Amino acid sequence: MTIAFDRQSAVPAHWELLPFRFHALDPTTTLLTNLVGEQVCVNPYQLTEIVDGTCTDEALLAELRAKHIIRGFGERTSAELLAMKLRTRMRRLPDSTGLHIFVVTLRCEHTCKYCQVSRQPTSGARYDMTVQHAERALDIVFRSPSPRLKIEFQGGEPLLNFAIIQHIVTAARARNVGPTRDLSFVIASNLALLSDEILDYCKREGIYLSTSLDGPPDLHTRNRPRPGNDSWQRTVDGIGSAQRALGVDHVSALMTTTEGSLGRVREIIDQYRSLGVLNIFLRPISPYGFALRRRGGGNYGVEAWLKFYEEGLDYIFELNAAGTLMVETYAVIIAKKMFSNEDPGYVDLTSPAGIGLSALVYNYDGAVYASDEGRMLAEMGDHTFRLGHLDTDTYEDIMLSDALLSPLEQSITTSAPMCSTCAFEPYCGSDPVFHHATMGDAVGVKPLSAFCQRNMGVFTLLLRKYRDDPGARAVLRKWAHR
Amino acid sequence: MIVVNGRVVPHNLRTALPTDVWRVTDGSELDPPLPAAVLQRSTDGKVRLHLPNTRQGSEASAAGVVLDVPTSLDHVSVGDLIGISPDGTRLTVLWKASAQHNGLLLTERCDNYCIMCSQPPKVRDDDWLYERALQVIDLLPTSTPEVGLTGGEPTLNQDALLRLLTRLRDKLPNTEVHLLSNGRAFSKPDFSRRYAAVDHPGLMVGIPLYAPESSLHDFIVQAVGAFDETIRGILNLATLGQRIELRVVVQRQNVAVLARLADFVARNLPFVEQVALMGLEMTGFARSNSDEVWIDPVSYREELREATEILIDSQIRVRIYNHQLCVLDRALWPVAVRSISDWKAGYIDTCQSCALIEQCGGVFTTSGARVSKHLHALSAP
Amino acid sequence: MSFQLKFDAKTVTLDALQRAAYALSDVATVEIREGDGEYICDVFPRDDGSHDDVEHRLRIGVIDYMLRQRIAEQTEPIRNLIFALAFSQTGLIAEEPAE
Repeated sequence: MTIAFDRQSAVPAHWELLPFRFHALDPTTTLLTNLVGEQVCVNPYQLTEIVDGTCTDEALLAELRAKHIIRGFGERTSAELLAMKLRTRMRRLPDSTGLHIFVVTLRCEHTCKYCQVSRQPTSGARYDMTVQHAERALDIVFRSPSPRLKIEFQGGEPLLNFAIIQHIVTAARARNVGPTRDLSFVIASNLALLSDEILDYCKREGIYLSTSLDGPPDLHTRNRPRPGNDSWQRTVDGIGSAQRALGVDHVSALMTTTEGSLGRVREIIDQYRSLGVLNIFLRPISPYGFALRRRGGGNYGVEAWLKFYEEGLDYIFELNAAGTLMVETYAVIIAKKMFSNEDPGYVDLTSPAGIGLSALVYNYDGAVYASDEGRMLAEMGDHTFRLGHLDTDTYEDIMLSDALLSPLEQSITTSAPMCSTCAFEPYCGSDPVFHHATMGDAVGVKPLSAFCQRNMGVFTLLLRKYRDDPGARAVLRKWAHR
Repeated sequence: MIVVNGRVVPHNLRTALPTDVWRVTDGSELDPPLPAAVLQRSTDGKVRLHLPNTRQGSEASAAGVVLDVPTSLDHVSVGDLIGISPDGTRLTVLWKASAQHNGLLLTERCDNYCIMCSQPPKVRDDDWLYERALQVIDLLPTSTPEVGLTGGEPTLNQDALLRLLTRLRDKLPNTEVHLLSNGRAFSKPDFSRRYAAVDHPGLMVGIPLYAPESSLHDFIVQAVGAFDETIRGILNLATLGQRIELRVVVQRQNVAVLARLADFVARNLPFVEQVALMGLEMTGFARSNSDEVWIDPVSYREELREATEILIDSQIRVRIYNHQLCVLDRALWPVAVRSISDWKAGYIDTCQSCALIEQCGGVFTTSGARVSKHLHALSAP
Repeated sequence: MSFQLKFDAKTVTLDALQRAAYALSDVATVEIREGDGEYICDVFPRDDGSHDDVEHRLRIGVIDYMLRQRIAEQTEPIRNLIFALAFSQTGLIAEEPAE
């Protein structure tokens, strides 16, 4: 049978551009991203030819059509598919607010160098959250439309006010009626004060425990002094007890990076491995709280941190190839935005920003803040992100306050200078609190922003790994669909 | 390989048979209702079918019609459904009770013209095939696990198809119904709605998609605009909550973009229930276009592995059909299925000494000599 | 040491120039004024030795932002359509929807 028309006849004669952005990854490689962040790499000449309509590379044009960067003249399906993907990415936007942080006490027995909380010594109930404030805070929690509500207990050291934690858990469950939400609880604790009674309670109520683990003993203890200087041992023991009582998947650890961490990322990851914690979040140090005031361990640039991050990620890819399924949390968040249609809604990497919409903070004294970092700024005397107070303000007062709406409006990346034209925009977000703290306004000047530099560094790194390293590509793909 | 069509010799037949489709029984029922066909195997090895209720002539003692069944068709068994021509001379096995998969042919017309089509379309009025299918459905037990609906393009007669699907819903609500369609008719919202309204919980439509963009897909199916219609059809079905399988025939033309197709499905059509990656059946147009379509599966091991992994990592169910285990990357064996219909599955000499012959689906006997040059026996793992 | 660059106002838009200048904020500040069919840029690099680097980045930046403007203009209608589709009631897609 003769084939009626050949391959060439099926190729559309002309093409039209679909919305896309570009960024030079290096002098010979330009990244193109479509409306929902799908990527194609071309060289700079090809980019001009694509826009001019003079490109004759049929294989490239077919790839661009498949990736919704261009469409055949008059073809409609690509617009329909892009609309669908866009809708999927944005579908959780109406689901505010998912994370509610209760600062149940400011008391703490550690004196961590980088503490952002300006903790108070262990006695002194005036630094504890009252029952009345807890109940009013729950009013606001349940006014949020989100089908998933996570209540996170922080401090100071929240276990020093265990009674109010129990009260809040009971009260929250009682209020969780028609329509019931998916309600979860986390206690962010240094685990030094863990007792059998507390563990039993957590097990009964299905509560998650989260702790700080900065790395090997010397690093962890140096960062986190405590009377007796046994912070590392207490943490490790605490993780062990918690894992045994609650199960490995109910215990997580976060690390904080300090100058001392740089150059030791393999050791840090190995420390996590040895404790059976297979999730690590390689975070940068934030500029708030004691860290900024005392500059303790915060003195390094973005370049040094990126090197640290790349080394950590390479080690994690190595481990995965050898069968240890270690996961790096920041890369997971970005991989989802790069390689799937899901937006994980991570509070520090969304547009509009996560302030208020993703998280709210109820302080021990009844003040309500737009984010954890917003509260830390207040501890340093800057109340820009204080949205109101539980004694005087309702849900509407708080969510419609100018303190929230003004930075939120400015935080929409598609309207911000440079962000609006950035090829990485679908993967990125806003951090108005960071920019306010470091540059004095919610948007900042992107070429000078450490937030921007750091994120662009991570995006470039992940894309390079995805393109050049088949092993890393497979891992990133799996992470994108976790 | 099993033959399904053949000539039979009728005895005592004076008028046209009253019905087309017959149920093969074993004769243990005293007076079986129409349309039973009693299977008789005599000691001399001859196979006959006795149609007991077809009284011929006015004699009170007249026996029913008897058909002599040729050796090629002597695999006919109790529980099978057969079609007999009105004049009693041609027999088609429509349903084998012992087969894993049975398909009902609904039409040979098609609005695609795939360059590797193993069942080239015919332009003729064959609506009687729908009628015959209805009769088959009426005779199937409610315990039937699965019914395949094939063509040609079954949606070319929308009313007949919907009538058939409704009958399946009413008679066989617990049966999986696997409809094969190019999906283009579902680009019309009205038809999609009517299809969804049937509401058979076991109904899934298998739709071929050969490329991640229109130029290659349209070329392969030889129909300009097919890709767009198919995608729109898939989206409409998804909006209506219908179950969808995507079917990709892997061939020379699309091997190079297989991974990109997997990516396209993962990003744009992630709601599909599964993706079937299928090997060629080298008959029909596939045989005449062999130069354009044939590629030894061993040549695309890498591409197939990558495409499969992309789909698995994206949490989309994958199955590999029509590939022999010895030509597949070992990592893919867990998703390889024995998919070739019993009646056209075969093994070559080399296969007889293979440790995995039971697990492997073999080759298409219809492909003749156009199979991989690298088929080889595997030793026990 | 500051230096001056001139751009032909017929081939370069002020918007593109401003954006390119903004993108240089980490290494230089730029003052732009208009005169005689030209845009005159007084460039003040932070680092004395970086003249060539800064000039190169500014010129490349202008070309890039002009290209971005072309893409934005060409794709504005389809962009609006895609967003309209994304936020419309989830209906079925008909054969020839109105553009």
